[in-house]
Amino acid sequence: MSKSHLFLSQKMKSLLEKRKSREALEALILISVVTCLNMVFGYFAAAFAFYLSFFKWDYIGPMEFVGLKNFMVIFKDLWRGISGAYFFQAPFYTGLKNILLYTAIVVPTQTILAMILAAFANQKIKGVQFYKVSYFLPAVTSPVIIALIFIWLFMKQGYINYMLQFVAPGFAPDWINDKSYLLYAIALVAIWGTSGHFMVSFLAAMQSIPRDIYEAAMLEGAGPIRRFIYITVPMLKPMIVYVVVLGLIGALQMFDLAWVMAGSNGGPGGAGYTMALDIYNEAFINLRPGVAAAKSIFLFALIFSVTYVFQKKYKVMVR
Amino acid sequence: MARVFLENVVKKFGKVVAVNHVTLEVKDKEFMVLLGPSGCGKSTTLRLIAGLETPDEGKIWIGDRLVNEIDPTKRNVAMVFQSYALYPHMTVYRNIEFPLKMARVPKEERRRKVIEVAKFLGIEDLLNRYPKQLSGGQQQRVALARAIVREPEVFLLDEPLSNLDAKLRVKMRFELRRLLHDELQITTIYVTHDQVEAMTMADKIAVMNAGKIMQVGSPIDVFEKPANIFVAGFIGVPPMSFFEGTLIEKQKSLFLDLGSVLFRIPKTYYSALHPHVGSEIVMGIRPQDIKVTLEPQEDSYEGKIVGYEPLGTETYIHFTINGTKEYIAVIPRGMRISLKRKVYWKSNPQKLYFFRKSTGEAIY
Amino acid sequence: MRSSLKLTKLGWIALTCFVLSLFAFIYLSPFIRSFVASFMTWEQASRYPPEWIPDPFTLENYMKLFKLELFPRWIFNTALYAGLIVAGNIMFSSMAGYAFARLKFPGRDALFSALLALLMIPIFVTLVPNYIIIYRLGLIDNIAGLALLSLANVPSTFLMRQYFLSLPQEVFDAARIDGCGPIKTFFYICLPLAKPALGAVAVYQFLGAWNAFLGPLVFLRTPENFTLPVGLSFAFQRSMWTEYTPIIAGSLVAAAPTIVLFIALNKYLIKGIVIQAGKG
Ligand SMILES: Nc1ncnc2c1ncn2[C@@H]1O[C@H](COP(=O)(O)OP(=O)(O)OP(=O)(O)O)[C@@H](O)[C@H]1O
Ligand SMILES: [Mg+2]
Repeated sequence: MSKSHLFLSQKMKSLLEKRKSREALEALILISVVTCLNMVFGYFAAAFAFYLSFFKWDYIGPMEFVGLKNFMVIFKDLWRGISGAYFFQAPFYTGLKNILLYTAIVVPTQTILAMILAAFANQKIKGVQFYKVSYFLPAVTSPVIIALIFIWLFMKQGYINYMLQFVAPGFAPDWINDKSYLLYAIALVAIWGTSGHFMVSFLAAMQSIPRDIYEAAMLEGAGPIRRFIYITVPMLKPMIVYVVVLGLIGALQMFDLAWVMAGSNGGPGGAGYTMALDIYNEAFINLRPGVAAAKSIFLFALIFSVTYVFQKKYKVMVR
Repeated sequence: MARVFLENVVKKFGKVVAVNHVTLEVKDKEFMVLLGPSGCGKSTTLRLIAGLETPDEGKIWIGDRLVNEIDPTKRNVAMVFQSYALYPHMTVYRNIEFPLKMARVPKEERRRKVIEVAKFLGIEDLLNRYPKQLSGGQQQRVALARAIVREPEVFLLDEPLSNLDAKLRVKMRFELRRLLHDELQITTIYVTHDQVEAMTMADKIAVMNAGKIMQVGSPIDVFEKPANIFVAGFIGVPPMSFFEGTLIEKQKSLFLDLGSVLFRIPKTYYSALHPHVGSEIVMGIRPQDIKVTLEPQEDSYEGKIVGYEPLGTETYIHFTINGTKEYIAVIPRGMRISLKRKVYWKSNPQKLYFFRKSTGEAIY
Repeated sequence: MRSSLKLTKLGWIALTCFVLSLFAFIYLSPFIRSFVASFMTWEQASRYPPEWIPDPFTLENYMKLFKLELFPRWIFNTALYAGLIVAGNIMFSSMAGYAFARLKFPGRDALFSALLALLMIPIFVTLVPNYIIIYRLGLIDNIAGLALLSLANVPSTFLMRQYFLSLPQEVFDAARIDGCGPIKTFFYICLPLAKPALGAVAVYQFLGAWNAFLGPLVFLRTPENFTLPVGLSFAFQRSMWTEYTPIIAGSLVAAAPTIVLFIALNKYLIKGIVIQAGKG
């Protein structure tokens, strides 16, 4: 017994003196925390979510295997929604519909806006840093705080309607309490909050386009607008893909703004209800973790396929 | 006593064989230079000895120890890198002290040693500066000091002079050899691709190409008796001119058939070359041993100038015989030449080299 | 010909300045408007058309805020949470980033790819299982339990790895030869050299933690343990004040550290964003 022990410890010692194994051992120590935490809270949790999606459970009692029933809940909900049921009967459908509309508004708008602003800023003018800082400021502020401020600005007799009166006289909706405007109000806040960040990314990409390409185009008589369309935009393609993919991932799982501006029940008529809110409600209000897991897998599949298709189409990979 | 011995060492990076069955012995106190073109595996060989890479095959010995599996920290070697690799966040003093600190040398002794080495290398005024406040030459000295201070058994240097300007390089070349070889007498392996450095500093040169050792020998040996075409062509400036052709025998004399002319091979080489009659061989002549004149002379051959490079003290000319292959010769300055001009050349009959064309091996 | 060219050029510059300033106004005015209004009475702040000069000038809103005992607690909790996250990420992600960048061990690249792949999984997928794990650990409603979830993020590890890859290999080799094992090299060489990257990790993690909402919302239960974003939205939804101006004041207090940090470090931060984007 002690002999084998001795042998083992000797072997350990010689193992430690060996260059390769010593390096590997110390490396394992260095990566241990990152690896363990991410394996548990990332991979184990994801696997557990997948497992959970086949069970009925209320966090306390025993888990009951129900096969694909949780997914049936989703599809029944979707079916009811398509056949025209109200928000209360088809919350998931409402969330899905809203988030798709929201994404379709936010992602193109913020991308194009960011690109145009960057193009304007990418000229020899003074004070570019000032513009960058002011555009970027919303991006470093918590969405919750932004939402709280905007609820006030969006009031019927509020600042935004006041400013709007100069642009569109007579147009003064009750943004937050009117179900036909709530989602647009949220979308506007989101665009306001993120476009500045992407503008800075675009500006950096534009500044790395070699100047002589522009000079050559100028000699050929291309004006600033045509230079933008025929040179800048194609050269920016990787950055556009990056911004769009990040935008898609963010928009499809939008939660904070809706939670504050619409409330967890989605506001009037569920106009501000999103898939993310629905998953939260299933998990922590309705206490149906199995259904929440199934819905989150649906969300994952949606995000994954949308971004995958987009990246495939434009043949640029984004991590 | 620190002999370094590599036995059949192989190192691969994926598909690239960086070091290919290298066997090399560096004797105690010897100054060995590894010389070869870029990418031939010099640095990899050095890193194998240092323990920064592990060999895929073969054995590496330092002193009497087989060090294949021994950690670089335990090999008692010191290394100076091409970029010096000083620690940017430490002062010169801390840089030099660092290896001693890692070896748990007591503080007082560390201090004494650092100052001693700094004085020895003339950098005692720089001890409180940071590396980025130093010139290239000063950084180089600090890197040397950091390596010397541990009193290593083996000293490894990877192109330590290549970041210095030409003048400083010449000065340091001389100083380095005196320091390492004459004063400290440490076994040294020095990597360079500069043959002048190799010739002036080395006790022995190991010429490498494509991961293999082509020849090991003293500078004179490598220059005078190249073992193959590669070494012959690599060493010497400008490079040796090679004449390819079939060896033929006529009336008890040997000739090299260069296509349009038959080059008569002096009698001295007869017995060595005779077995190769009929086969393809390569004759090499150093440009300094080709004599070029404007008028024909005894035993000379015709050529045509296709280019020249005046260097001031002398001029390199490129000429062809009859065809496109170019040969180089050195002519004294002041000789009147012009492009396309017809010239006559002859060789120094004592300074001819012959190689097998098929293998590149030297015949004579 | 030449003068007309000059004219169009001038026109462009004017347009550029106009557009950029207009948007600067759009992005900044909510902040300015809130700042001004936080010194107004609610009666004045909700007047239409909007007024810009507080009259009477009042600190009432801020006083109300701090009269609520919860508010200072929320500040403390947020700071604690952000502090834990920053400390954890600085320590652990730099260790792992160095190992993934510069050490050799079996399965290194596969493991790193596996970690990167985690970035594709939406937080909502892992939310419920993580809730259960933290619950089982008895750490629900506990800032430490919440911090445990993001103590060693993949993005910070990625950033550190990129940084260590950008340093010359020779410095690490020199340290090895001078007698440092991998872990010693980490402490003596890597950490001091990585200050800029550590600063970046610290700032990003601070912003992320300070602004985080979903995690604190799910994992913290009692109002005493809330962070600022959760607390403020809680105060808003419970209508803790009959007026809205304290919420505005609270929002500004909550946003102040990030805004100050950003304005102080803007050059550096914006560059960091650009570097991050560049990897895409
Ligand atoms: N870490 C590595 N990974 C992959 N290939 C490598 C690595 N290190 C070296 N190589 C390859 O091995 C070969 C030899 O490289 P090495 O650095 O030893 O050359 P060298 O003789 O020092 O050249 P130089 O004079 O340019 O420094 C090269 O083809 C190189 O590309
Ligand atoms: Mg090299």
